[in-house]
Amino acid sequence: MQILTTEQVLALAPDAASVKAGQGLSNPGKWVSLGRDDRAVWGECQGSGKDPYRAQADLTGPAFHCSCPSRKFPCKHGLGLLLLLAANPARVSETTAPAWVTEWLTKRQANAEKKAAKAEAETAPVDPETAAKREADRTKRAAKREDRVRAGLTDLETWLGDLARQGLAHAKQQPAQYFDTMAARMVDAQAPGIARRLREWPGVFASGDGWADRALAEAGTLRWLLHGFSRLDTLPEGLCASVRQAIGWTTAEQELQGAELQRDRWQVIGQIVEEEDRLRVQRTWLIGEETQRPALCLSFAATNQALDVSLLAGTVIEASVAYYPSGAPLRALVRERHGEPKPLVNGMGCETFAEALQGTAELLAGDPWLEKTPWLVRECLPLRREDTWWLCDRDGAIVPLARQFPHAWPLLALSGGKPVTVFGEWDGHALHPLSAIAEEKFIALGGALS
Amino acid sequence: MSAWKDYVTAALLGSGKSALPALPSSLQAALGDTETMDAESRFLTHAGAIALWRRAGWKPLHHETAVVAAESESTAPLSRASMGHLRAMLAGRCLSALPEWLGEVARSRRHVPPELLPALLDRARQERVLRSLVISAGGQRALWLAAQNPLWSFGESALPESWETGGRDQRLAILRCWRAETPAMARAKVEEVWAAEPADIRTALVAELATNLSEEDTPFLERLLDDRSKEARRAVIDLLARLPASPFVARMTARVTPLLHFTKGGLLSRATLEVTLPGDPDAAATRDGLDPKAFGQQKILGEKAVLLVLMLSAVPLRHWTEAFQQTPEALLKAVQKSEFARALATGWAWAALRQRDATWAEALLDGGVAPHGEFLPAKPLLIVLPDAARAVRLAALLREGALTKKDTTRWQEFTDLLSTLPGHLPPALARDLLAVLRKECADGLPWHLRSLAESFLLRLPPAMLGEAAQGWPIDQEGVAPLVEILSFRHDALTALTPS
Repeated sequence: MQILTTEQVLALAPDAASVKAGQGLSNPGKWVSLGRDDRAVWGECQGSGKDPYRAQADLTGPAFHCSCPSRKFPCKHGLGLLLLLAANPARVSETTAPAWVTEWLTKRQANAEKKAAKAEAETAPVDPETAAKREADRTKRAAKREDRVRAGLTDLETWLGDLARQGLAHAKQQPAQYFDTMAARMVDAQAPGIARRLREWPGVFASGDGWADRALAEAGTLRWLLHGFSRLDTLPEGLCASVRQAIGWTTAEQELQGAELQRDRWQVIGQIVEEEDRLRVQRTWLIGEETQRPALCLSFAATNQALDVSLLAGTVIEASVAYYPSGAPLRALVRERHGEPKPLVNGMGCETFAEALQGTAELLAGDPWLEKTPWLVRECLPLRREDTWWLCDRDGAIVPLARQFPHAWPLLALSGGKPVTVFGEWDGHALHPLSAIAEEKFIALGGALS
Repeated sequence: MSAWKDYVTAALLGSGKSALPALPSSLQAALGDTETMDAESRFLTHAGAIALWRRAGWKPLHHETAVVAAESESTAPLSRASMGHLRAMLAGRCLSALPEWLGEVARSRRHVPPELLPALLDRARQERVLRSLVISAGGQRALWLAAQNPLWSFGESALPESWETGGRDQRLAILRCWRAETPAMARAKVEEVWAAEPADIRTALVAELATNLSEEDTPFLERLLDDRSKEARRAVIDLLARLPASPFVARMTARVTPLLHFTKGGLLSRATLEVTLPGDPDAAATRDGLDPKAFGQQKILGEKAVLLVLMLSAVPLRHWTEAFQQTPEALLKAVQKSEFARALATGWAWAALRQRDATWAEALLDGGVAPHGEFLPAKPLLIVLPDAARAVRLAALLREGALTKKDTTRWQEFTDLLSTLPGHLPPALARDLLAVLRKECADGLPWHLRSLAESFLLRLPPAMLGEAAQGWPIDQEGVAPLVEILSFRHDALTALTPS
């Protein structure tokens, strides 16, 4: 059975309050009963109600279930249970699962099978008439959306033209509303990808030194997106997918049915959760040990919904993933897993920033609208110069760390003045580290450290 | 790249106000003909192309400085279980157990993981008691890291240059170092700056001279009796009173000796100590701090009695036992009937505290005459006793029922007394204490007593914890958090014990 480390369990917590509450419940004294077998761990915890809450976790997922009324996921009981197991495995004895645990596990198994069956049914051959009708409906819906996007992008073209003519100095004086209105227009036009970029504009204009460089680069990038859209039929398949994705078309998981699978031992090398428009977005980066290929798994959750917790930073999974179509395929879906996750130990990665930048250039060649590219660089040294944090490679090249990176001091502490392996997201200006490997120990830096 | 700069300049003003800047030739070939586009589109298209080109060709800066790395650790890393305990405490669970735990980490020759050092050092900024503990539990890495951030140097590594320019705490830390190493030099430094310092700093500076106090300090201290500040003078007197050979002590002894008359008891009469109250202080007496209003507005002691207390507090206790050829017990017995009994006891108790005289402290504690505790410096008389004797007295207090949840004041007093014992409580006292606490908790513990109870439980010796965590009425109000402390300490300390 795979016992998660404390760090991994904390990475599952939906917020800081849950971390604290979970820590409070990691004391065996809080539990009326505790047990585990080779698949699951469970316990009964006395809450404010008459009957104790029954919390359980399926460690193969991990997946959680609890009888408490909390809308957080996983709830503090689930977290407390796994924290307890991580810190004090001896306090949770192996035993036979009670009925309330086996029932849930059986139901999970059944649901998984049902889902598989349904997916199979959707791709199963149907009679020609039904197939033709489905196809016609799909085409009609798609054409309608394209019309809407086209109308929206025509407005955007005019707006961008006005902005260029009147100048960035003029635009800087506009209220945030000037950009928000256009962003809202893009939402109506079903181009949420552009809307999201526009919402960041007020921040770009207020970003201090070099703001005009960044604003012009962003305006030019959007202009190229308009070019891309107007030539969708003539673009190569991958680039076409990248344009559509940047505008905001999503690819349903079913559409990946036929995609080629890439099997590898994937290192789950970094994970970060960000709030985006009342949505929590989790980015999990994988790197194949065999192919050295990066892959990005996304998970979205509205407030009180669960993010996918099946990929844990600091583990290696043998799995087959399907890449979403793109000029520079990064986003991927874990299709099949083979075996249990193992702890991540081996440090791979580029030797220098020059090499990492080369990788970024190649990805941008395939998809010019990529905002973040993954870097895994060995032998980096964190440095502080004039209140700015930098990372220095073995050649003495330095790149700045993102200003919003909260764990610069812990990263410096990890290094102790000696080089460490760093994984992070490069946004074209700065690197935001998500993990480090120091003295063969993996440390996640994407979430809370304690 | 100048083409990009040209585009940014043009973009700031607006693309219509100037001619379209030139494109680098290699991009021109890649872009082909853009002349069919309207002016704004063409401008943005070119700018977007250069921007992408720049992004793909981003070049890092270079840095040439040698970094001094931390020494490698000679201690072992923490086990996974111990890491879990540390994270739990940093997240707020049983945080009060952190100092003890850090001490144990260092003692068991382990070190905390480097990535958690910043959080610990930040905490140590607010909690002075953690500072040396974090450094010793953090190994070489903690020393290295603390040197990288001025906020974490805590004044310990304060440079002597800061003596003149530093903040109050920093300067006091420097003086403390000097005084420990070269007392005379430290005194000279204080003397040098004395006249220019404000009263509160003068008071704090002179108080630091308590370390390594010696007869050599006497001439300087005697001069300070003429200082402008009453607070500073009080601090000076407190030091002079601890120097038996000082002229100050001689003056005080000369003033008070004629006021006490001891008469030996006979077959039918008790021994007595008679008191003549002092007269109004003259200028010399006032200079020596004899102020009838020294204790402020109060109705407990008369003005003359206050003077008596002040005099007694500055006279070596040996003087009385030698002058009257009596033990402290006999002297205290002799004053029992006196109307000034408590004033005398207060003066002697103060002297016992200053002179750290355990024999007199024992006698005063048993003497049946209670000093006026409110006029004594904060620490109780028990502080003067050896640890073992103090533990015995605390156990006796417990048996008398000092600890009941109905009497918060006595509970608080007992906590203060307990805090005079260093480290873990002696096992016998701990067992007594635990028994009383269990009894008091049988039907719940009011919330306002919880932190006091917690402070007891944090000091139970580790070997008792396993047993101590058992058998509490866990459902009663306020009891679960207490048990949590016991079981957390048990788990966390056991995890550090070498197996």
